[in-house]
Amino acid sequence: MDAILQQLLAFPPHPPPANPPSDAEYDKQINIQIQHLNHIPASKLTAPVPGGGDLLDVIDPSVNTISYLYVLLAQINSPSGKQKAGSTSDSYAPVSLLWLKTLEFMERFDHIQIRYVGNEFRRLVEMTAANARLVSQVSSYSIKQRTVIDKVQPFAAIPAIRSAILRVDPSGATFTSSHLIFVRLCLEARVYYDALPVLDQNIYYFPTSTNKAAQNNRFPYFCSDHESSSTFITPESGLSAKLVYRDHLQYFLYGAMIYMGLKDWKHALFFLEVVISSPVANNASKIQVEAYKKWVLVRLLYKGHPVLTAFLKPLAVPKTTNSQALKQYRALAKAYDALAEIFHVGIKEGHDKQRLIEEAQVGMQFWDSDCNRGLVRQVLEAFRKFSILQLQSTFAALTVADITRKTSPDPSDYAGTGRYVVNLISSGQLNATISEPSDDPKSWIIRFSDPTSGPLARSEEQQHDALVKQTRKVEDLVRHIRELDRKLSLTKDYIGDAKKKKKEQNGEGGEAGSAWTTHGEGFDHDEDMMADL
Amino acid sequence: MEPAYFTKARQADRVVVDGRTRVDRLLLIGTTSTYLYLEALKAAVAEAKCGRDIGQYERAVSALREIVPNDPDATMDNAWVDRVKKQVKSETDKMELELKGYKNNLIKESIRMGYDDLGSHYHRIGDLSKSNKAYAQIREFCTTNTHVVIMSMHLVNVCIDQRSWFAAQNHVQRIRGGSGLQGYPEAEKNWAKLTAAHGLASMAQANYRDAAIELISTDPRMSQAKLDDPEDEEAYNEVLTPNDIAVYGGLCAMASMSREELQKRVLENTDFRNYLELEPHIRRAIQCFVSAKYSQCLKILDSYKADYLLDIYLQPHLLQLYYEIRSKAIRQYFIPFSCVKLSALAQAFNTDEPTIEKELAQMIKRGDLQARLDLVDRVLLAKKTDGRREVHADALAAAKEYERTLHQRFLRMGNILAGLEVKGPKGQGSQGGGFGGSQEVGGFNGVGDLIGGEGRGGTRSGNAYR
Repeated sequence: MDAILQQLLAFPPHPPPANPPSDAEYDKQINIQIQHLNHIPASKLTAPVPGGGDLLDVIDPSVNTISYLYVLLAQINSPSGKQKAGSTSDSYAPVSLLWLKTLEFMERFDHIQIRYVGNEFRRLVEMTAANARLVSQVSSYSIKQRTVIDKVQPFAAIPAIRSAILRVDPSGATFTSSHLIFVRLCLEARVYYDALPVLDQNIYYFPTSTNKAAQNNRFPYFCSDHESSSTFITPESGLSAKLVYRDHLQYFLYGAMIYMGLKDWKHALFFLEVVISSPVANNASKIQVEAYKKWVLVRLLYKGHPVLTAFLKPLAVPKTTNSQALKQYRALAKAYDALAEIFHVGIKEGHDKQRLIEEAQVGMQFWDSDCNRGLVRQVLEAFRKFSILQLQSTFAALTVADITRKTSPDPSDYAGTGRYVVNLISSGQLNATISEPSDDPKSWIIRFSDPTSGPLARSEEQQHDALVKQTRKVEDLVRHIRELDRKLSLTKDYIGDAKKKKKEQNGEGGEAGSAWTTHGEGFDHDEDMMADL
Repeated sequence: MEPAYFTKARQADRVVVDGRTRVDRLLLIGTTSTYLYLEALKAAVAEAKCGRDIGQYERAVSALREIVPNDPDATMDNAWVDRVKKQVKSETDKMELELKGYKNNLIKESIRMGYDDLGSHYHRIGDLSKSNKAYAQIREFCTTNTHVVIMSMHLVNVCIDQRSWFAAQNHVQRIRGGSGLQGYPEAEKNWAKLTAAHGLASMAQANYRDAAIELISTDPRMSQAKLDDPEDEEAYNEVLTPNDIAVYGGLCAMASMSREELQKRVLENTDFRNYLELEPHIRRAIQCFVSAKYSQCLKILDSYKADYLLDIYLQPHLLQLYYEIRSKAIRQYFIPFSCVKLSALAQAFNTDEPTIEKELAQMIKRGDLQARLDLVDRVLLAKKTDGRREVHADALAAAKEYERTLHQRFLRMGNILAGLEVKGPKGQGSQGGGFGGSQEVGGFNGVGDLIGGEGRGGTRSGNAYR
């Protein structure tokens, strides 16, 4: 038993050598360690330490990450655990000792070592999430009598998985299957804020199998210092499962739904656009259609009326959207497009809400079956807001009585309108000031401010800062583009093409072209002459 | 109130217009004027009966019948109709036969004449498309440039009666030259008519500025045309009169030109002055506009509004023209101010405050006026613009948009690189680029990747936002 413990603690060497090992040395050692671990039977890993206590209590997850992970997985899957309670989930159930150990591990593992055991790590994340969901399903049967613990259990996995994802890849730039698992978990548990640290990281890469040889040339070892997470998160590393197109579409759709839950329309819109504009080979995916429907509604909630956005037409779908797919979206989301059209016209012409409400009522079966009823309801509410915002392009000052007459559902509810406008101003949605010469809300005066004045005005310095910040963002993006460019230049297709081109060039240069080339050239020549005519 | 223009015309006992448009114009007056309808419709019926166009006659009678069912003229004169029908038929047959004869003889000039007769015959009986066809056939048989000009003039007239303005403009351009076409010097005699027709067509297509530029450059030779003398070659009253040129040109110019332009190009234009003298009130209105007496200008225009609404070509555009003139007047009035009392504005434009408020709101909404209304102090405020700030804001917006698009495209590339394109289920999707037929058949139901099972569960939480 001691031998095993020694084996487990063999890497990394303790105490650490004075000179840190080179990347190559480190890589060699760690691979040897993994080979050893693979040979230890699982039963030995689950056995208690002779001195009493658990192996998991002896090993420090932040130092001996790999060993700890092996032991943990062995214990979770151990038949003894199953025997005790009938299924894995019980001994490994939330709030069990093992569960807590798992969560602790996720917070503390070593982010270099974990790269070598991607498959094992992924299995751990998958199991944890599955467990948390199982519990959340059970507890949702009795939502009303939910105890505090019930609430804590499914939730507990979320921060742990979140830090696990972010510890593996602090830049969060590469998409993995764990992302999807995490986002789905958050959505089901309805904990939207906690999803943000992951969602807010811009995703730039999808794991790809790049040309191994070329890749190794630059970053030969997992443990090297990688410029971009996309070079160590590859399908081979196991940190992400093999992805299919459904995975990333779902991730972005779910992510958008979380943003919608937080009413962060801007980000929601972006995520939905990613889904809509995803490359389509032949038929659009149903996920994309769902995204399009939501996109149409979120677009209204985000910008309302195009005049306010300084663009004359409504926000358009991203240009890269496949035209065939777009046709399919439109064909399947006619009710949504119609609703949006009425919304736009209504705001532009200053119509009242009645027409929109009627349309929403007629389409109720669509919204319901697509689970978009909540969004439609918010669109109806937003109509009032954008009607008021629209007024500022025509008017500089109005009384509440005027606004009520023009926009309110109830033309005599002055107090309500007053409150509504005050709310708009105080929440920063409307750049205006309000003065109350008397207690009667009817006489309150709203002055829409210029961009240079009013509570939302920004000084030139602020504007400048914003510009500088934006520049930095774009520069950041350009860095990623270089990386992607490099990757593209390593793909088989590109290299094949480049080779061909080079050959052709050489062929033209030298006299000794093959028969075929000469023929081809002659033919080309002919064609050129035709073109000149 | 009887529109002033017509009173005058009747007193002078002048034949103002000629040709097909007479009936058309009378019909328009009959169906829109509440004062002149009876007189106009009766005249229309009588006029139509003098002609050969049965369709026109039927239209006139039915219009009259709708309004005054008991009028003796309101019943169809079937005997006349039958007689004319027979006559027309025999004439048509005769001409076709003659034309056939000419064709057999292969004498170009005769064939040309044959087609020409046929064209004018069809024009007379109201079969405009056949008339157009017949005239168009002439081209092959023209031996001199003069023939081409004559043919084109006919075509222009037919096209105007057909209301195919674009074609009319094409025909004008063909003989007048310009825009890469070689003109015919022989057309010089018809210059005034061509310009007028072109201007009319531009106006009818709501290109008011083009129309104005065209019409004010009309050759003055037509202004002295004796309209009641059918021998006078300058008269163009089968389409429009010199008075019309003055009115259309003046209104379009007022609607589309700045005050400086009006002064230079219209009032100081010696050619156009000849026409303006025929309609002195238009000249007065333009003068008022130029000297910034907007209320007088608008008053003059308003007093003639009823007349102009009975004009066959002006009617569909009059309100828009008046709106443009009015809004331009308001804009011009507002330029020197940073804020104006609504009451002052209302006074300056002969109206009351609520009306001007609505009007201004409409103008702002349409983007015709860069200002905002202050309904509390009841003033119109000029929009302050801060160029530097706007540029900054625009730059920021553009940069954000750029970042967004870039990121999206980036993800798209990554997607493709990782082989994550959306593909239909195996065996269903078309192999490579075949979006076509299988799409319709397979339809969307074929897409097998429903967010089934678990996915559905996720989607359902959309309801959380209720």
